[in-house]
Amino acid sequence: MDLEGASAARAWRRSHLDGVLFGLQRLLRDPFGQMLTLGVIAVALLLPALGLLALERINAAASAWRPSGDLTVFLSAGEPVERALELADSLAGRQEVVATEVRSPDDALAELRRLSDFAEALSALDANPMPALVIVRLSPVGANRIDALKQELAALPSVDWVQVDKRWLERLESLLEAARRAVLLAAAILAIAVLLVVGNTIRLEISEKREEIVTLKLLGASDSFVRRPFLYIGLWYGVVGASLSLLLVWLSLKWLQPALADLAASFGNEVALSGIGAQGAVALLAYGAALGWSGALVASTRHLRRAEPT
Amino acid sequence: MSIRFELVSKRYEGRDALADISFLVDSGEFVFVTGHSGAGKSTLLKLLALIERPTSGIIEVFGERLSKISRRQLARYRRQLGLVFQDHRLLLDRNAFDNVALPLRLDGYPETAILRRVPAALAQVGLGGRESSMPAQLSTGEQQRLGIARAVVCTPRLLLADEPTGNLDPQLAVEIMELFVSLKTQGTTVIVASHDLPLIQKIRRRTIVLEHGRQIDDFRPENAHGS
Repeated sequence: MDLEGASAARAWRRSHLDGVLFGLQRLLRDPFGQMLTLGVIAVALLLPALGLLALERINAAASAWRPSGDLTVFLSAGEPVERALELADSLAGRQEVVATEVRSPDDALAELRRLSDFAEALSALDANPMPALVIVRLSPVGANRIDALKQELAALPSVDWVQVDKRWLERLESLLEAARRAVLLAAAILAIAVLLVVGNTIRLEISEKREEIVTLKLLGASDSFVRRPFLYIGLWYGVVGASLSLLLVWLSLKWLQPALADLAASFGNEVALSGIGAQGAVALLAYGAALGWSGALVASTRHLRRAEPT
Repeated sequence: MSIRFELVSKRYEGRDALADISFLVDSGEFVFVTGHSGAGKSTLLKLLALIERPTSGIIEVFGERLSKISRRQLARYRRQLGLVFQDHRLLLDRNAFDNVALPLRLDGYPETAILRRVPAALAQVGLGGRESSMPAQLSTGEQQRLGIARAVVCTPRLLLADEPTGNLDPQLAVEIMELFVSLKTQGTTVIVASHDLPLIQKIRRRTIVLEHGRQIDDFRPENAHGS
């Protein structure tokens, strides 16, 4: 690197360091004065975070509540029960299969007699019309995976048809998808609110420091040099707002936990709202920082152009 | 040659602030620009600092035509200048050291060089030992000198000073001018706008005289006895 390049790199590093410290000092100088902005950011991040967390938990709980016997494989008429046993054995080793259960034609007929009002009529039949069948209990897989498995089994020569009772699952997944989209839409709207709030705060900062900005430009500061401290103010707003949001998430979950545990218990289940997790916390902080930075970038690019020496 | 003005005019709302100004300034030359209030002295400096653009005419500085300097190149151009403002333009939330260090930091000087050059520049203007003073703790004259220290600390190629001695006592004003003159040894071209005629007569340097935006004289004392 030549001398000029080294100087430029040094100036760049120095201005970033100054920017980080300036942004932090600005926030620490009057933390309560910034509470409105920080509060808006915290709430704007809290709502989608809670929404996504709730969806994740509902999904996990729904998986546990899903009915067993997801797939019933009816063999063709006349296929011996041994064929059903072979099929059950071949399915038992698969990852998506939790358990299999074989019903012989006699078992099936007996169950039909027991569960229906046609016991006498069934006795009059010369031969047992019921096929052997295999009930396949699946691990919590999505509806698309069930469809693939159904097609695979239906293609077997010994199989007559495969019944899937997934309406409940489809409804739940549709509901969860709609809820997920609603949460994402709310998150997008709230993100715009954060951009506007941070942007307005930065606009006021720029207005307050107009004379200093003009002086810096007269002394040869580049636009990016002048803008940098404001970007770091935005970044700190985002990070501190997201930290507050994490605290609010934790408090909310603490408050919701007993009620949700009671509800889950009534379904014979347990719900543990363990929190957002380390990865989620980092993601929320990064999201807050990115929003703060972006809001500051938009506002500073727009308003710094107007702060010119005259 | 350091500066070329060729038929430069600046018009504000139908009024000529400068009209058809032409002159050349050599590298390392010291030039006073004088005239009454409203003569166009500050406008001339603003054109050189690219705070304003001329309505017509050509300005070249160090061989570079200023009209071709884009907004993106403006910062690089201004880093070659030292500017002394009438109203000092100090950063009020930074101490004297940090105010003077600012141009060095913008230029990417290493901290060791900054630690050496800033106290030296402050000492040159009589503010040695005042590094930690905030601008509000300094008198108007001291603030003026702080602004001058900031302008000279980088050894600029071109120093533009607008009434730099307005708040200084005559003796200190002469010392500051002598400091400016001494910058010649480092190759700095100096343009000082001033209406302080006793000071101009004392320093005896080339003087461009403006009146109502027009250039009415350009004399060098060694060639202009009696003018």
